[in-house]
Amino acid sequence: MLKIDCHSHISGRFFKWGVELKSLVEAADKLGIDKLCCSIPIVEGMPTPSEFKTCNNEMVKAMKEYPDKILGYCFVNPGYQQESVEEIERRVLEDGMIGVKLYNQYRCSDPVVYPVVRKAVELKVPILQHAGYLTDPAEAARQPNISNARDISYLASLFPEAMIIEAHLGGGGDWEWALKVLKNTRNVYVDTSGSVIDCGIIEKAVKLLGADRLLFGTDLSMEEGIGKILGAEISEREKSLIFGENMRRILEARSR
Amino acid sequence: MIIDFNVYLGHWPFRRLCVRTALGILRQMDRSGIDIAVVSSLNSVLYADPHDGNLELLQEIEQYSERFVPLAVLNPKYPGWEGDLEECINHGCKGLRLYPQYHNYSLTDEECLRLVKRAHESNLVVSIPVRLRDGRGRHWMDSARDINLEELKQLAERVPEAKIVVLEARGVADSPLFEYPNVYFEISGMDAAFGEIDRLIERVGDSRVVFGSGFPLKYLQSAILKAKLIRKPEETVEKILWKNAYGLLGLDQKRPSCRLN
Repeated sequence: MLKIDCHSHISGRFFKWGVELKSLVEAADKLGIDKLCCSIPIVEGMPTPSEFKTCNNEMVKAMKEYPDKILGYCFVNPGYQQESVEEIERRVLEDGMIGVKLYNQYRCSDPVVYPVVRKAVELKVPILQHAGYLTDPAEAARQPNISNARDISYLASLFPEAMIIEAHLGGGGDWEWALKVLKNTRNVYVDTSGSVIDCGIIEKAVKLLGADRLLFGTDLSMEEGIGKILGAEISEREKSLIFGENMRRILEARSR
Repeated sequence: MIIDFNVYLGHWPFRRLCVRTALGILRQMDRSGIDIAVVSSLNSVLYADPHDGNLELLQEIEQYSERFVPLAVLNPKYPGWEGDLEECINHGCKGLRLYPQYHNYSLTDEECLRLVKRAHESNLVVSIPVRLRDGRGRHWMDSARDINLEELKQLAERVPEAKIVVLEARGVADSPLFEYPNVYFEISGMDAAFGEIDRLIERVGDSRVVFGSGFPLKYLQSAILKAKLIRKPEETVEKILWKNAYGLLGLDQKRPSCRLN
């Protein structure tokens, strides 16, 4: 069964939460993951164009090192609108990146983000949006601009052709809340990554969203990422869609 | 043989669980190759008197006693725990499960130390989950803290003779907790693919690590994958999968593996 991890990371100069490229590839091989869609985001402050371009340079280098394994998202700070749009276009068309990664610099419902979304729509690539509905006040205070499912749903309604992926259902706080919000927003996918493996999370996601809107991911929680889908009481066909078929369809849509 | 050291039975008021009966757990155990589940009452976490949950648990698993090893949930701040403990021992409980984060006490409170010492005198293991859910998405009525490793360390220091199993922990391979020979570690919160479990085994030896899943709060298959990724000799893996738990629980009689059809 094809397995495409739609949400992974490697370490970079400005991002120390990831893992070294070689370790990640080895871990993926142990677990039978065919491809890893990675990014190197900057998770604090307001990264400048020079900084996010450095991240993307590192990402492209990794893609070249493991061309059959590593796919790269282009990380930008949408506050730098012109530079972000140009960076996305260049990285997708020239370097073969497969999508856009947005972190928590702005809520995705903020109009400042719209030019980036327009460019992603034009290039037919997905946007992997860091997201969470953090019910713990201390956690929420740490990320005041984190997008939640309502922000994503609103953005998706403005751009019905956009392919937006709500990141880490299993790492973004109250996942039941997110699923309820996103139930009727057809152009939003949800990635299942994160360390949370609450029994029933996948079954409920399938029930509310349908298996064709779910994308397997790990966000570096490797056994958790695979185990929650293997353990879910859903059909083999649904597992196949989630593990890889849906993401393959998204990747095939890309302009080249 | 596999012994799952970290299984719950009961209701969780903040979220619907996929399995809430002993029979449901057994079905999943059979599917996943688990022979014995070390189980405690989930109801006891939020009952004012946790012992009512123990009695419910003991009744629920009675007809499957070959497959379940019960642990007693007690609150050392609640009156009558001494008698409740005796009753649990008489009904076959092999250890304690403590929830200081829900029962509103610290592991180093005098009452808790007394309970842990009493458990040791009765040859009971003491197990403590660091958390029962991820705090980022906690229910608004569930404000329980995570147990920090320092608090566990102090308990291990104060009652060095007690055998303490830390459940759901992560980052322990790099913490001072590994230095305490009376502390054991359950693997469900640790990563295997990047080598955390292997590193822990290298630091503490292979006699202080046990397999556990957190089922049915968590999917069982993630823990199975973790066990499969341990890169150690077969004898070491065997110890983690069941032999260490077997010894800790004092399971001196052979337990036939009666499986459901």
